[in-house]
Amino acid sequence: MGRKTSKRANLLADLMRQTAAGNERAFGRLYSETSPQLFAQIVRIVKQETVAEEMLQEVYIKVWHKAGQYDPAKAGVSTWLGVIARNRALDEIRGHKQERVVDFDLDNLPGSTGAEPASVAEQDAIGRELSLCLNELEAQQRKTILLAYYEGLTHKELAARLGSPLGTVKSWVRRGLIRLKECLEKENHRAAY
Amino acid sequence: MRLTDQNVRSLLAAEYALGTLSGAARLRFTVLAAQDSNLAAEVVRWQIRLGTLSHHIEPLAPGPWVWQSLERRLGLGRNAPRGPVSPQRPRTRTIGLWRGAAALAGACAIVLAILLVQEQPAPPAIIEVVEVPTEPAPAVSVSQAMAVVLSNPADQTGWLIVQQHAGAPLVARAVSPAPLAADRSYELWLLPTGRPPISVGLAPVEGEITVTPPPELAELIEPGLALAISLEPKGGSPTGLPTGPVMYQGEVVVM
Repeated sequence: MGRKTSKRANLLADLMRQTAAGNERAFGRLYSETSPQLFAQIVRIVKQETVAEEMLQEVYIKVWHKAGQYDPAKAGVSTWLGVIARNRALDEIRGHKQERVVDFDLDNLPGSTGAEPASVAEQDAIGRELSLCLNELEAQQRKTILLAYYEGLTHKELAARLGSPLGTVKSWVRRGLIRLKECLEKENHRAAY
Repeated sequence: MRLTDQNVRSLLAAEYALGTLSGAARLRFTVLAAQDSNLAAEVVRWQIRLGTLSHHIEPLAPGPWVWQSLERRLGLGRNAPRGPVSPQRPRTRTIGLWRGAAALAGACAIVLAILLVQEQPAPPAIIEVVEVPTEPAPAVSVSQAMAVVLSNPADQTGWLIVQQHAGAPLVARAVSPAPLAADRSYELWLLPTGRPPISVGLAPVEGEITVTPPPELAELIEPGLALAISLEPKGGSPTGLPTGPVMYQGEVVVM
């Protein structure tokens, strides 16, 4: 998958640069390339296609105006777009738009200023590491985290969906996230040497 | 409240990024993160980590109208020169006619008609254009398909007219025009600002017709141009100007 993925990632990064420069055709292409992914992501969370369509537009309006803020050093384009889309969808279902304080702001990353752009391979590596580490979790922890991620469920909703007590579900999520973090840091450490 | 334990901070950031916090817990964390850039950064780090999961979702293509609506909302394609005819006109009507409160009677028929008339949706067409990098914008972008929904005052749709791109033939499809007496015809008019109406021809009561306007008419067809259907004697207006009442009206919008 490596070469193909890299080619696509480079294409998207290029389209994003051109979009930031106001190139409408590049923006159109970026939309064509990425909207099915974002739309699927939003639909899974908000469940209604017409609502998702409106949100998808909002996401791309934001992208059009803020493409210049995208920094390839910090995340791949499809990840960046995916985070914006998912945040928008979560805001919608949580019904607290005013809470959009911790929006996706990559500039908040400490130590990231002046960093060399992460290579595409490194960005792919984030995904690989995550998959690897998810597989190290207990099945119940993994399932709960994936359900929360893809469906945008809260602790309470997870408990209802899984038919398990709230406290148990919270503990699956928390232990799962803690183990995930430990594993990711270990992988990171290993990769660095 | 301050969060000092690094592990607790990271865990809460992870839960926030995952989206499982809700209600008061979510609100509390949001307030904390707004005042603490390191905490906000931890959220971002988790968002990126978890964000790679999105690549595993089976893609689902949005309908072509999403891009069309986006183009309109962002005013894309406005820089493309349209010829010397007239200054920019506001795009007053939306193409999102078939959605939300503005939904018309017969909206499904319109969507269907658009799908039938359109050769291909806008975004894929753009792909072809984009393959030519850094060239100046063409006179008319491929995505500039235009449409007119001709409706009566009761918001019933009589006709849908689609033009794939500037200069292309107009395809006028009868959606549900009111029945016509045997000695009458519907006639289609362009209503350019400051000029008398210009006949485009008779409008079909069923099915569709394709009209290729002469160049001097073709260049008038741009977003905002008003069109109307009048009731005329059989065969059309004898005077070259509308003689009967205007039954349906609409305006060119970008699809």
